[in-house]
Amino acid sequence: MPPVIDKKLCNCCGICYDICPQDVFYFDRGRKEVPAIPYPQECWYCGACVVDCPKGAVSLDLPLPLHIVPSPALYGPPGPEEEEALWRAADFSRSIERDSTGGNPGGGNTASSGRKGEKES
Amino acid sequence: MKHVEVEEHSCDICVVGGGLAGCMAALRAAELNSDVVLVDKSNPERSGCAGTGLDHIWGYFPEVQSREGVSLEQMVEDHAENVAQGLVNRRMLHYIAATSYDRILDLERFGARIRFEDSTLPGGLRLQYQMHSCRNTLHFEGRDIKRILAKAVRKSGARIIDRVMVTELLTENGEIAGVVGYGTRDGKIHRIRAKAVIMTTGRVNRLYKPFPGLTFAIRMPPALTGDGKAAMFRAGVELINMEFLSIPGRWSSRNLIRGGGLPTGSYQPPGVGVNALGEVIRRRNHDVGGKTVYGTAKTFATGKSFQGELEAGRGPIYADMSWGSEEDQRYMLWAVENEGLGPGFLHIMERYGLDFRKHKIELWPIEPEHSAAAAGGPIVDETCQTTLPGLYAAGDEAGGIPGSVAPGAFTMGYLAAESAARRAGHAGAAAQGKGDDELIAFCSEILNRSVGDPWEDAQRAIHNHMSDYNIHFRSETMARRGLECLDYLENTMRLTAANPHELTHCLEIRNLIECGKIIFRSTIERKESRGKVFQRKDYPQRDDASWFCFLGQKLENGRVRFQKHSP
Repeated sequence: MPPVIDKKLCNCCGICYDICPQDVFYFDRGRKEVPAIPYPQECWYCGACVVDCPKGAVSLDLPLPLHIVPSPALYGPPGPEEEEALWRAADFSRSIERDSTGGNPGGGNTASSGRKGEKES
Repeated sequence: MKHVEVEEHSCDICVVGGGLAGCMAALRAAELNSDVVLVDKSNPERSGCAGTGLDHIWGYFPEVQSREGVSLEQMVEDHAENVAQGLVNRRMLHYIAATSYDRILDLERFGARIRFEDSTLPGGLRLQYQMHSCRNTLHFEGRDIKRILAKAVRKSGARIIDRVMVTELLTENGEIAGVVGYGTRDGKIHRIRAKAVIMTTGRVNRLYKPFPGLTFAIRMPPALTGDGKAAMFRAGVELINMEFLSIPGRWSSRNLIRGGGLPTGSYQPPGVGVNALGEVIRRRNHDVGGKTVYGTAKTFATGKSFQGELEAGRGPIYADMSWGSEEDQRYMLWAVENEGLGPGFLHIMERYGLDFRKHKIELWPIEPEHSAAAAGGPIVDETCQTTLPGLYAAGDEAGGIPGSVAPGAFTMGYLAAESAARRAGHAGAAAQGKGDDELIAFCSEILNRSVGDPWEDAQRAIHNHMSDYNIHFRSETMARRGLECLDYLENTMRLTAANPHELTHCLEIRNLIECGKIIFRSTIERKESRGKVFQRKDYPQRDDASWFCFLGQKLENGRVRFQKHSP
């Protein structure tokens, strides 16, 4: 049951205890120990603790009813004949208009992707 | 005999709830007044609907919309007719649409990234189609929007009281005098006297049986249990639209993510909805057609529906997001990471070996949702004031503006703060106020009981009663039975709590029952059916002559009264 704290990585800072919207963490003797998780079934799986843990010590385990049973995808990367559709996708969904850029719809000619510090493909 | 300790606080302006609306309200209030308190049941760092993010927000962006030939008035009209089916507080809707961009610029000022070098739109904005007929939904880097806002609130001078669940209002001579809450960790009663109060506790989220069968596995935050609406009703504030629900709410992957990456959301260039035979039921955004199609609701439909496919024996439904260029895929992952619940979902995908390129994600309709799309809550005037002088409401807390969502939270929070600051500037010292006797009695009774019912059992009973009597076979007789069952539960349950955490859940049960009863009573009163949000078996027809109105419900001298209001 979620969340799970890696005791080797945890530095007992208590950020997870501070920020959890569901209040599932608990300190018995203050911030000198790895937080206890007395209410794991009250987890919302929001991932706040995973994102905010400075040590990357928290992960979420899914209870069996929430598992996503894998199912193969139907499409995958488009073929060369789909360039027109890719242009429309870039225009419609990524705010990149064809007339303004040149280059290819995969974004090879664009300045940078959304995430800071991320490298171009 | 165990007693509950009471701690006293006072301030000029008290904001209840630390979500998007509450943070924006506290920020604006602190600019205008030096004595502001924000109370949160959790912690504004990660609380509320946008706790782990918000990747989109609609508004009127003049530099783009005017180029595409859409005026502000047209957008308001589009929302009123196509999102809200005409029944909407138009004046507030206009304010929200007109000022959403101003509040987005505030977010940028606080440190949120809203501009991107690769966008070729004016200002480097990334705009998408979502629920309107034009491209008006900003895509931005909102994963940490709550941390950014919480930091700004702390810097503003407003005091934050966290881990206190407000569940009662203090009133004096028919005006607001403050709020009373329970410390979810310290176990104390907190009396906070105030000259003006802004309620922003949001939706009522734990009424209906959750689709995956787990109480806390729901799409929107399980910590939101209608605490504000219940408190306001008990204090005599008039609530509207409480009978409306969004049914079926939305389609989601076991409630683990919002919208499941479908083209009707805002973040999925490669996304398509398919049935079990691989037939496309919802097309990709760019396959829908022209750009701005003002005047008709933009539709992703193919003439088929997910529900229809299930009934035709071609289920289940999947979101297939495997198409697109590498940039499209990267953009989608960026958007998912920045939307609420998205970071957790991506973490889970990685942990369990799932990949959007390789796997499609199964979708199911989620349980009904109250408040936001259905807009149930206190009726507000053009200053966000409720029917109780000095009490304001903003965001999903307020009634009458379906689909206002994040822009509603930001703009109404801002407006409510300006109204509250005006009132606090004129008012004398905060009154003593009354209204916490019942709360103290409720807590004491539970604390002094050693054997009884765990709150989880009461929660399951609420799920049963609301799902059995208020979804599929809604009628006067079913609603009356639902009321009987909630009354029975309220009078029969003997809740126990081992600690403040469990007592908090008991107080949530009290508020959920209160909201459930309000819903059943208004259900009986509105004798018609109205679109998806309200279907009755005994009155299947829409009746605009009698019911094109907000139905108000309030407590007056111990009696429930109803009143109709023109929208």
